[in-house]
This record gives sequence, structure tokens and C-alpha cells, in this order.
Amino acid sequence: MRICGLRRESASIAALEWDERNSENGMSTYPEPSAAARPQDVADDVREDDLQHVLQVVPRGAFALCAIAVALLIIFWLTIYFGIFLPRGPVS
Amino acid sequence: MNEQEILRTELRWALIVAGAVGIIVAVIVVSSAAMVLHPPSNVETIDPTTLHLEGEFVENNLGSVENPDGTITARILATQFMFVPRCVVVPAGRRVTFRLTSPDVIHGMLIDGTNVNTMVMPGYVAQVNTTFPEPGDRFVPCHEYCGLGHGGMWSMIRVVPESEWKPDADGRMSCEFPY
Repeated sequence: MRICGLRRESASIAALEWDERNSENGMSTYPEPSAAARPQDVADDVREDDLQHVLQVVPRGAFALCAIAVALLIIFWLTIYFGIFLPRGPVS
Repeated sequence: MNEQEILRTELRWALIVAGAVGIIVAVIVVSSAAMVLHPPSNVETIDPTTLHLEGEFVENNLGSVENPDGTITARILATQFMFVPRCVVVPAGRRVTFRLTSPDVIHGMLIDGTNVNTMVMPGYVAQVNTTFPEPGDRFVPCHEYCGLGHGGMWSMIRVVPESEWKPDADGRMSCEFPY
């Protein structure tokens, strides 16, 4: 990965060197803007009860999806076993 | 959903998956036991250099023969690039034992529309038991590449109704390769 023409490692080293030169009381002054500096990067407000509701519903959907997939797998396997394999005659 | 609930959900799901696997295993075990199904496995050696001189694979002993207990044994030689004999006739509804070997290279044999599928190796006798429920002609190709003529190496099994199974005094019956 390249950042502004520099490879990631070089960019990291440059950032560390900048920190060493410009740190005050251990606080980094690397001129990287906070995500909050741009409105589009700030998360929407989420109400706690809405969050809990979503966390309750999403696992149920995932569970239903998995159950349907596994049920179809079993049904197809049984269909092939009883519908194709066994009618083709026994072997031993 | 807290951590305990997540763990309980995972445990429930694990039980469901175990149940699904259990259903499949139970079906295989029960049907295998009830119908005597298992992969053909027969370790029996034979000298491939003397097949045409002695033993059960001499030319006049090939093809199908009825055993005293009413079952059928079909002996087939797989050689470059044909099965000998090219047409084998067997009755429907009876247990048929196929015995095959090869004097040259590794061949394969499968019978179209059935679960019969085995490799035929020189020095070994491949044996497969099966029953054909319905009469009809079954295509039998070699499915193991055995040389330049591999594509033309095929034969057929003619399954006839019980009423048409009329072996000679030696219990043998043959059929003409129709192609």
C-alpha cells in the first residue's frame, strides 16, 4: 500500500519521527485530523433501546438463514440418496 | 444479547448440526445394514501372465454362468482395448457377481445406471456384487485411461427378464454384441 507516494512503512516511520520531534507531554501532535472534524465521518446518534432491538433481531435472522441452508442441504442429500443412489441397485 | 445468550445460541446450533449429521449417518448405517451395501473390496491376487492358459479367466470360462444356488457369476477380462466378452447377459432380479481382471494395464469398469464402479488392475481380481431390478441394455465403458484406444473400450450388460434367461446345460448363456 502506498500513502502519498510513500510505502506504508515509510509513512509510519515518518509519523514516528514527527512525533518524536513535536510531542509535548507525550501527546502526539501529528497533523492528522480527527474523524470528527468532518461531519460526514461522525456517527449518527443511536438510541440505546434501538441498538438493543437490532442486536436482538439480527441473530434471529442469521439463525433462520443458517437453519434454512442446513435444512435444504439435508433435504437434497436425502433426495439424492433415496431418489438416485438406492434405486441404482445395491453393491457390495 | 449478552455473552451467556450467545453461548447458549451456539450450543443450540451445535446440537442442530450434530442432529443433521446424525440423520445422515443413521440413514447410511441403517440402509447399509438392511440392504447389505458396502464399497466393493476384494483383495485377491492372480498371475496376469497366465490368465489365458489356466484358471477361471481362460477364454471358454468368460461370460455369465448360473451357480447352483441360482446366483450368477460373470467373469470379464479387461484388456487393451476391449472387454471380453463384449456382451454379457444376466437375468433381472438375481444377485450377480462380477469378477474382473486385466492382463496388461489398469482399466476401469462401470455399469451405466447402476452403482457398479470398480478399477481393474493386473494381478488382482476385482469383484462386485449387484442386482439389476429391471431388464435392459447397460452401457459399460472403461473409465480408467488405458492407452490410445481407451475411448473405444466399452461393452454392454444385457439384463433379460427371468423368462428369457435360458442357460445351456453348463449354466451358461451368451449374447451377441449388437454394435
